[in-house]
Amino acid sequence: MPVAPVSRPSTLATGPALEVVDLSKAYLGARPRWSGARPVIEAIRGVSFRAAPGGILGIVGETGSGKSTLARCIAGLTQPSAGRVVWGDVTLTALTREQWRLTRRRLQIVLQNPYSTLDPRMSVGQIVAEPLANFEIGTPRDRLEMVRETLATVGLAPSLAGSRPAALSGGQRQRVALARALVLRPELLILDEPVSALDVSVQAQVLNLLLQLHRALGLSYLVIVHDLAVARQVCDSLVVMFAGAVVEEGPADAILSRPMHPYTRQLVAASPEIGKDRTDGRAAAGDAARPPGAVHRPIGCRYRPRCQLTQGEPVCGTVDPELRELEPGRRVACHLSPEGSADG
Amino acid sequence: MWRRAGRFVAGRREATAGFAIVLVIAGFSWVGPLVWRVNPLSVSLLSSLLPPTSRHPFGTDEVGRDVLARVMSAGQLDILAALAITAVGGVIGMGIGLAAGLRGGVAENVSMRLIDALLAFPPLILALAISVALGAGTTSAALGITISTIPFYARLMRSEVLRVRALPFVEAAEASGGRPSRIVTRHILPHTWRVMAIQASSVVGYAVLTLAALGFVGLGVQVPTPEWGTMITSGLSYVLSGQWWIGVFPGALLLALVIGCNLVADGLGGDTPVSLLTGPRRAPTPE
Ligand SMILES: Nc1ncnc2c1ncn2[C@@H]1O[C@H](COP(=O)(O)OP(=O)(O)OP(=O)(O)O)[C@@H](O)[C@H]1O
Ligand code: SF4
Ligand SMILES: [Mg+2]
Repeated sequence: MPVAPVSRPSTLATGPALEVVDLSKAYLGARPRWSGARPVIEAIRGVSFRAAPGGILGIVGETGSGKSTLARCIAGLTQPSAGRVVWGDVTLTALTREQWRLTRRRLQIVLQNPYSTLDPRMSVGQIVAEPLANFEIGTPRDRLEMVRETLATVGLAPSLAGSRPAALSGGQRQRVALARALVLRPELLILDEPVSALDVSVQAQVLNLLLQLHRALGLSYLVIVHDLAVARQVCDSLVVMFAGAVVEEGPADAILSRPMHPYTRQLVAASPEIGKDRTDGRAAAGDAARPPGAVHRPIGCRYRPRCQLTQGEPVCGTVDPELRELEPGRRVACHLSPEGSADG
Repeated sequence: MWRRAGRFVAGRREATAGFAIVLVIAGFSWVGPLVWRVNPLSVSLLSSLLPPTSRHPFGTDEVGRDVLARVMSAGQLDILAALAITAVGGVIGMGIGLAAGLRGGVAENVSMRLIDALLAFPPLILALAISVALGAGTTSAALGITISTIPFYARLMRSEVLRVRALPFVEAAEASGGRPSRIVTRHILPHTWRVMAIQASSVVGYAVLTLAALGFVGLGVQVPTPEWGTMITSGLSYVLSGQWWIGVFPGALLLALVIGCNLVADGLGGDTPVSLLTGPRRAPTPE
């Protein structure tokens, strides 16, 4: 599907690098039925990585592994409990509310579910024009023109501007959400599972659109994906999360062709498009066992209850593995990887 | 425009019927006196307690005042007072609820505990107590009723604000760079209107009824000003002796008005499909 060119200087100004340092976020869980304090749920813990400017960094992990929490912390929609996020020369985690608001002109997030993130009382045109109004960009007439242009960019007919979200399909809604983020011409776009709420047939279209936009607009993506096949299609580097922590990080090709952490290996093996084992990826990855309850996290490696590599080595049960650089650009949080070499 | 109005009506038959009832009673109260030019206060002991005839379609009361003229004049007073009560109580109550829902913390806790304390009394008793404290009269009765409605608005508004605030599109609005004030006015408040409109229409019915009840026990509107509640009271003592018309006409109008308001309230909450985002339907009533 052709994408309308966007009027932008041909020398694409790519934003700065994004650096996440030791980011943690704890929530208070529900009060227990009988008595006692509310449990602390560590949605993410000690997450660190760097996203190169102009790249597409993917965050993968099963449901509940803290991907959305991570995205929200980076996008300033929740306050992390510890750690910092540095974007170029700005420490995002130190910004005041109004400073954050102004930063959003350059950093946008498309939230997880396009069915609930569009205000049902507003028309598509109003939704896409809203960021422009928030930053007082252009006159109302200019905004109309920018909205039309952006709708065309995401492959929506300008005539849809008068429709309500309820009248749109899932794919169209996701395009509207995308248009709302792109209308500001951000430098960094965070996408939280941009296709997983969509029909399989529509997923490919939206992914292609995302790739084309990335090429045309020269922005950086941080994209959360559920599906390794999608990760392989769009990402150039990957962060693999398990139970709130990064277990493996590196170039997407390398990780998907030669996963090192036992969890990544299991994910890859279970992915029908990538691994040799053609069982249902979701079932194998998600239901084999729940991630160890974030509340009662075992001492030692958090992946141990499901690990197929450990032979009961004491170190796995006592020491939480840190990310180690095993190969240039590849970091893994496992005492035993690569396989068997217990050099940690 | 008419087609849209037509669709609106078709989707909300109950509310439309209720609104029509209210409109007819209002028209009767305001247009009626232009046609039926009889002074509701003029006493004529010679023609007291006359049954309905063409000279006095609703009969006359114990001092010979024309019941039709009085019922219409009373309608104006009751409807205006109910609307004022609903509006003032609504603005104050929703303001408290909005503040509590947005700010949280100590302020929320204190204001909500106060509201809970008010809610511990049945609203009629609360209205009664306040108007007793303020002394008999239309204003103090209206004030008492107004205060008794505030907790319902405040509670509901707070829970609505909490509900809407947690919806993903509000977070999306923040992510788009919306200022907090704009998020409240453009994304939170509009989603509370419907539930609050339901609440307000049921408060109109409650206000009319309670004003009449206070009049009935002699606290509200004072004689000789016509008011449905006081008319029902004075009519009551003549029912057994056969002069039913004194109390029945104001009673019937009161009943119809309350039913109309409640139909509006139910209809707004009822048959239209409520989107997932606006949550389950509820039609809270201060009863
Ligand atoms: N506001 C919150 N309050 C309490 N717990 C929360 C909150 N948000 C997330 N959590 C918990 O944090 C953990 C991580 O949730 P998160 O939504 O980040 O996961 P996810 O990886 O995005 O999952 P999914 O793939 O289902 O979107 C979960 O256990 C979740 O229950
Ligand atoms: S550290 Fe031990 S338990 Fe954890 S993933 Fe590696 S081998 Fe498995
Ligand atoms: Mg998520």
